Formats: sequence, C-alpha cells, structure tokens
Amino acid sequence: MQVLNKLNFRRWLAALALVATLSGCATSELSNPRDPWEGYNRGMFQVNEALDTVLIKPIAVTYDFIMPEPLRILVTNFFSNIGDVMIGVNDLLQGRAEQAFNDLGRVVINTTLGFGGLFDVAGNAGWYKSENDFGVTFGRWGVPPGPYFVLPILGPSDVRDTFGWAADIAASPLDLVLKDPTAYYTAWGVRFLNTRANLLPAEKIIEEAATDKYSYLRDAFMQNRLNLIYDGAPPGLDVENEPEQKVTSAPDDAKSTQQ
Amino acid sequence: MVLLHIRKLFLIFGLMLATLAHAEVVPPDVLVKQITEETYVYVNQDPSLQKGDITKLVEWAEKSILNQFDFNRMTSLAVGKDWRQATPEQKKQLVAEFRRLLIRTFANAFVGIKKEQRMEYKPFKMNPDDQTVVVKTLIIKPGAKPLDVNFSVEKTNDGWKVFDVTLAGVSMITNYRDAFTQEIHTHGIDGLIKMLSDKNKQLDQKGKAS
Repeated sequence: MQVLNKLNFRRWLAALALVATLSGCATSELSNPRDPWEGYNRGMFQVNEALDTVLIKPIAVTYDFIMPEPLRILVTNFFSNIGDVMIGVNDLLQGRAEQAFNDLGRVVINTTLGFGGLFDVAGNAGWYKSENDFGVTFGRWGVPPGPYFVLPILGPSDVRDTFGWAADIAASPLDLVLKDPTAYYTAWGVRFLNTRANLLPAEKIIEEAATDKYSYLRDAFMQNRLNLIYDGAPPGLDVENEPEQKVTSAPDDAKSTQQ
Repeated sequence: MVLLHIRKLFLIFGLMLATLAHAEVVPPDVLVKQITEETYVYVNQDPSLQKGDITKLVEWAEKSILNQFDFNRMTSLAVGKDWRQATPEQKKQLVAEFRRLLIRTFANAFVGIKKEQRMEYKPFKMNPDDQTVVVKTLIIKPGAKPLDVNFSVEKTNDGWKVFDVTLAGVSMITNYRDAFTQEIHTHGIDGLIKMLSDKNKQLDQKGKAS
C-alpha cells in the first residue's frame, strides 16, 4: 500500500515537473537559468498585474489621495519600527553586531523618543534604517536561492525567500503589539496598502524603463537580493559575459598617461 | 529665490575652480559629485520639474552633464556577448535608441528628488592605476531607508566617464541584458533595434498626449 502511494506520488511529481518544463520551453529555450519555472511565473505575474490593476492599485491610489503625506509617514514609521526589531534579530543571526546595535538602537530610540515608533527620531540623528530579513539570513548561511518564484499577490521571490518570508511573518512581533485578531489582520492590511502606495512613484519609472516588465522586475529582484546578501558589495559584473573588455578606453593611451 | 541664485553662483564658481584646478583629468569621485550636485540644484530650482516634467530636465542634461556618460559602453554592457555580432551601423542605431530610453529613465528617477532629500558621498579611495572604479553615494530621505546609488566610472581617452548606475544594487544597465538577449535570439539585432525604437516612439507619444 505504502509502496503504491509512493509510486503514485512519484508519478505525480514527474507529471508536475513535465508540465513545468513544457511550459518553460513554450516561452523560450533561452530563458534565464535561474528561472526554470518561467511558464508558471509569467502566468502568475499576469494574474498579479490584473489583480493590481482592478483592485489593489485603485485602493492604494485612493489611500494615497485621502491620507495626507505627514499622516502616511506616521503609518510607515510605525510599521517600520516594528520591522526594525526583526531586522536587528537577523543582524545578530548573521553575526553583524555593529549593525544590530544600530538597528535595535533605532527601536529603543524611536519607541521612546519617537512616541511608539511614529517618528523616526533615530534616522534623523544619523542612525539610518537598514534592510534585512530571514531570506537574507538564509542566504548568508549559504542557502542557495533556488528557482525564481512569483508569489500570488506578493510578486517576485525565489524558493529561499519564500521560506524567508514565511519566517518573517511568523517571527514578526506585530501580534505582541496587537493582540486582538481583527486589529492584527487590519494592521497587516494597512501595512500592505501603505507599502503599495509608497511604491506608486517608483512604478512609473519601471513602466517606462522596462521593455519587458516581467524580466525587468525579475532581474531587478535578483540583483537587489544579491546586493543585500553581500551587504552592498556583490561579486562584480560577470566578466565572462562582457562583450569586449574596455571597449572605449584605448589601453595604449591609458598606459602612456601613467608612465 | 535669492538664496537659490546664490547657491547657483557658488556652484558655477565651484565648477570653474574645479575645472581650473583639474585642467588635465577630473578624478572620478569629483566627477560624480559634480554631476549629482548640478542635477540636484537644477531639479530643485524649477517647480515644474518637481511635478515630474522631464522634458526640460532632458534638454538641460543634454547640454550639461550627458557628455560625462559613456553610452557606447552602456549599450554594449546591456547587450552582452551578442554585441560582437552587431555591424557598426547596427551598433550605432542600438546606442542611439538605448541612449534615448536610458536618458528618459534617469530623468524619471531623478526628477522627483526633493529639497528635503540629500546626497551623501561615501569615502572614496582608488589606486592610481585603476581603470574602473565605483563611486558610492547615498540618497537620504526622511522616514525611509537610504537609497544606495553607485556610479561605475571608467577611464577613457577623454577623461573619466560613467558607464553604469546602480540603485539598491540594481544596475540600470545590466538589468536589460536578459530581455535584450531574448529579443536578439528570437528576432536578431534588428529586432532589438526595432523593439527599442518602438518603445521610444510610444513613450514620446504618451509624453505628448499628457
């Protein structure tokens, strides 16, 4: 019986893999090696785009319109302060004591002097906000990112960062601040909306810059995550793929000026 | 208003001095500082720019800062290894179209910079024989995580030139590579030229319509 189950499971897995491969081939045989699920991903991307156009963006635009900017900054700061707790914890998990001191210091300063995190007093004093999460921690621990993976509603991710994201949600201290479930879920909703509204200005840049929005966002996501894992100093541009070394600089001339 | 003019004057004097002092080669960090400060001052002196009108910014940039950018290198970097198979004429067209798209993107990105935002320049050091260097800056915006903006600068016959700009680790140049490679492999170099020129035309029309 168990053997049979296993066999069925194996067959099912094989079928799934086949579907994924076929849909991947349908798009292009030249796609990014880190995006083997491109068929599914493009599909989910389209769904997300449609959902955003008809529902999420209109709500975010309305929110943006009715919320005066100072008030929106307070909302951003409040959630940002709660987020700083886990940023600091992740710093510690990565063995970055100095960064943790900055980020947890921000929590202490902003929770007290910043009226429960409504004002970013620390940031104004030069203790700048940083970015960190479990996905980055896993990456620093050596976990490979795995295939690119577009999440429903949330968008660009990869296998590692999907687990990272789940850990972020589970570990977030928001439920300690807001114990009532209604308040808790409302807060997540507001947080999501606020984040979306804050992205409105960046959206125009991407819309106009991208020749293919899907791959533009995908590659931007990958570069950005790599940058976070390497703390702003990712391994250089892949020299292998560079067309001609030093296209514009004439080596002879450069040498002569140095002599 | 008066203050702005004074700031502008200072800037002009500063630039003149800088030009005099470095008659031979402007070091890369100074170059980046000049470009960003000039842009910052220019964007903040005109309210229409604050509302997102990029036409003026593009016109101004053409006259002032864009000769500090190496668009040939940017295009070859974005295209990747297929660059080699392009004919000189195709290369010329690719550079022209990609340049238009990039300038628009840069303008979109920098037009919204507000007075309360400021730029910080990270400590810069280089070896005398470096051919390419990265100048790191930070845009500080109250209430938000500072944005890392890095400029890759390369030594050329004609002084140091910017050939890549990265925002939060995302290169505004190499981010195109996958899309460009895909287009070249399905429709060839000419396909890519057409794609870029269509994109530019579409953006121009949209700009006129609004």
